[in-house]
Amino acid sequence: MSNFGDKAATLVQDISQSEKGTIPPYNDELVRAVVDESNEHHRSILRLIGDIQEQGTSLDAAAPEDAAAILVHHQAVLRNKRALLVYLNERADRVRALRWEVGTALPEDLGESLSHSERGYFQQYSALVNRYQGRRGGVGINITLDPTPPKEHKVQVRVLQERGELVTRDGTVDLAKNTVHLLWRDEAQPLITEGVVEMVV
Amino acid sequence: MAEASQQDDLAEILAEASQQQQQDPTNIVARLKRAYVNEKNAPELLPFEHDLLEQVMAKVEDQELVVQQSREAAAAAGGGGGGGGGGGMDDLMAHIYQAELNRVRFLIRAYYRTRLFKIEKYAVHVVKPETNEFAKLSPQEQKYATDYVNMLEEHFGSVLGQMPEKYSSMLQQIEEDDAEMDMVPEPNLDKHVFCRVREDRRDVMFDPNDPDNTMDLDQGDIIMVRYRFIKGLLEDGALDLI
Repeated sequence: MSNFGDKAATLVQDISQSEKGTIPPYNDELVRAVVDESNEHHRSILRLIGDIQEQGTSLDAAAPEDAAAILVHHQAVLRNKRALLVYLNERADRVRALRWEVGTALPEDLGESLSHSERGYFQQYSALVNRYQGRRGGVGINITLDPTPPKEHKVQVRVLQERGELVTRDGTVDLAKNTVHLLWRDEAQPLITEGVVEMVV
Repeated sequence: MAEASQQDDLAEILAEASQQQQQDPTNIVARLKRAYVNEKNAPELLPFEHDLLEQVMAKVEDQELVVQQSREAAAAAGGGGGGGGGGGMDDLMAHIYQAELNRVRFLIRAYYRTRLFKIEKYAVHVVKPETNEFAKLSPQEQKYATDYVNMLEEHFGSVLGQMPEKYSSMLQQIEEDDAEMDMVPEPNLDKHVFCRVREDRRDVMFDPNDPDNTMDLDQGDIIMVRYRFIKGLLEDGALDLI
């Protein structure tokens, strides 16, 4: 416990220095270390209070050096807590953003970067958004489409993954690999998100 | 000749459409657009535009039917007359309606999304029983907010639960009964916003602590002011945020 709060600061640095929109691997070891350190501080507080009470003094009348020690330990725990929440909250924001960018399925390589709790959080959030936009009990419109205002109403796409026939408003389209099609934006968007087709610029 | 007359038709349709939009005070798309822009620029959640959204959603369904009919008419005419003029017109109309529909759908989605993200940002504040924030939400949003807070508590709890006793709350830095919830983010009502005035108002007092300082607002004026001071005017529809 030589340097109070060193580990917590590293944790915050870890996330703040990572590129926006990316999710670096969850630093379980460091999170545990910060939690352990906090518990160590807490034990020191309890020990100090115990000592004071043993001497028969009330806490209000404690010697200034003891009161100061308690305060320092207390503030150190609060600071660690802040740091933990900064770390967790920033990551949670990025995990939620995934639901809007890649859809309901968590990409495998990303899944490994998340903690167990974060993976559960993503699943729950994904289901939450689905419930909200569902036909029954929800608003009945897919709100993850159209992240930006539509400029073109049709887009040209190239098929990357064989998909067979797709029923669109204009009729059926055969999504054979490497073929190019003109689709309505709202119909193409889910396929683009899934990586089945790509936009041809 | 045929081409020229079609172009005239098109110009006429477009002119008519844009004129209608400007003049009709009950235009629900224009109202939705205002609701979206206001929501996007207000620091706090505005009351959910229940009636408006209901009307817009119903209108979208109607319009979908119109598009479908135009397309069917186009297909029928195209099949019969070998690509006759009438079929082309129906097809064009179908495309114009479809384009308009796509714009309206974007507005609906953007409106819902903007509100959800704000709810997420201030979730705990929004579900607090003592504020009237919760009443501003639609029933779906109320469910969303409540569920969201629960899942957030569970997720943060996975780490905070291992913190020392009394330090594991996500609402307070240190748990104390009757103490302030000092970890709950709230919207900043003192944020400055830009507004465009819709109705003339005389002698408007902004700051209740400075009652002599009044201002006349003329329609079309653009002002920048703290949100708190124009909250009432916004609710009255006397101005819009931009």
